[in-house]
Amino acid sequence: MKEFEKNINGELNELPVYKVRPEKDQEILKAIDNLRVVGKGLARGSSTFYSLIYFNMKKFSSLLAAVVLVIGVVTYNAQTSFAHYLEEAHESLDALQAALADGEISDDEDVEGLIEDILENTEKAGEAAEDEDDFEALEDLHEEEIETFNKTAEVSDDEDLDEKASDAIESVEEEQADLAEERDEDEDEDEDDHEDEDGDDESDDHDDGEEDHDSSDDESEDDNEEEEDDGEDHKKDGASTPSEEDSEDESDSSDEELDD
Amino acid sequence: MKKFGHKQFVAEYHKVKDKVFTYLMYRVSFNRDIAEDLLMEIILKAYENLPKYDPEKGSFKSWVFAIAHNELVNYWRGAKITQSLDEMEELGEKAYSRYMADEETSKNLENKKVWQILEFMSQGDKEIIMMRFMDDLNYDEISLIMGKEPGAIRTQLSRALDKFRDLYQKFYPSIP
Repeated sequence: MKEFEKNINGELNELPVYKVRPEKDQEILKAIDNLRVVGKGLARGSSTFYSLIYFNMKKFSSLLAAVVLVIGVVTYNAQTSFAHYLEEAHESLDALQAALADGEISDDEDVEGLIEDILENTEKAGEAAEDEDDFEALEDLHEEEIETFNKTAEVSDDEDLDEKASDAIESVEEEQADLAEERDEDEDEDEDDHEDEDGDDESDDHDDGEEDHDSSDDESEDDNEEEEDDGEDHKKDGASTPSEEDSEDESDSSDEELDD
Repeated sequence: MKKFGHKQFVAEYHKVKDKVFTYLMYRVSFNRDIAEDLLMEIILKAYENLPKYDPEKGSFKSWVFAIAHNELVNYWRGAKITQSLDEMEELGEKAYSRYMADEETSKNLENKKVWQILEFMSQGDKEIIMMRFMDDLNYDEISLIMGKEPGAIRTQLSRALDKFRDLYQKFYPSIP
């Protein structure tokens, strides 16, 4: 049997390996990125609307809460969310890159319009950025924009468009500098907060050390419970769709075949 | 549980994408469009479920393969592939001719014997042999993907190999 297994192994290993086409690969990567951006946008948006609905239900009536919900859903897309502006900027950038790839770059107003759209949405995205993930996404966008604008200036024969592209690069570089500054400020604030918290904790520890000790025990117990829950999730999650049943079915059927 | 972030996911995706794609190609009669659509669904599903993935409990590869296996089962169920024997034979012939027409594959004509025999086996037996020898998955990984104990996987594989050997000797009696 061992020899036979070896032969099968050898032969099956020689079967060709297939590769995903680059365009599909890009499509998948873009879909993952969109999922990340949309997921974050929804999480942020939903927490705001839940608060509004809760407030209205408590203070006024469920009817008013429903009105707020409808208005909220309708106006959600118009909100100044980071995800929205980032997506818009990427769309215009993709259109410009496609034009560059086709070699159809000129002083055409469409190209100038695309550059303006990119800059406008990038600026708004910069204003709406909140956390480290947003900053990272912006950083990637800025790099991609500078590369594309450089190429635009390189490919174009038109002076006006060259100038437009150069101005756009300057504008993005300014955005980059602002972003770096904002991140530094955030980091400083975080450090300050951390130091303050440390100071408070120390004084609390001195006041009632025993109580603190007890509560930390509670926390670690909670952590353990959570870990156990996660473990269960993991066991199920790979097979969260009906794989277990299916594989059991398969094995049952193969067993039946054998019995036959 | 360790956090598995976006960047790590993309890095791991690049490592496994061709393996998962090859796994799908051999199971959807070498139809590239279907395999690519399934791959997209699998990767997006994996991304959506990322918070549930724990690297300490299994490799990313085996986790994605488990999702792929489930998606494939759903696809087979939807496509109602397991119908009459005639239809099965017709599908097998189509798959075989598509396989032989493929430029990459035609370079490996010698491999046709193994493939031809696999096409005659039941889906469950074919699946476990391919997972072990073609996709290079070990017993633990297959057990995670199929949701069975490693011992049961060993037994199932051993039975599948017996059947494979019988068919092989029937088709090619001259080869030991």
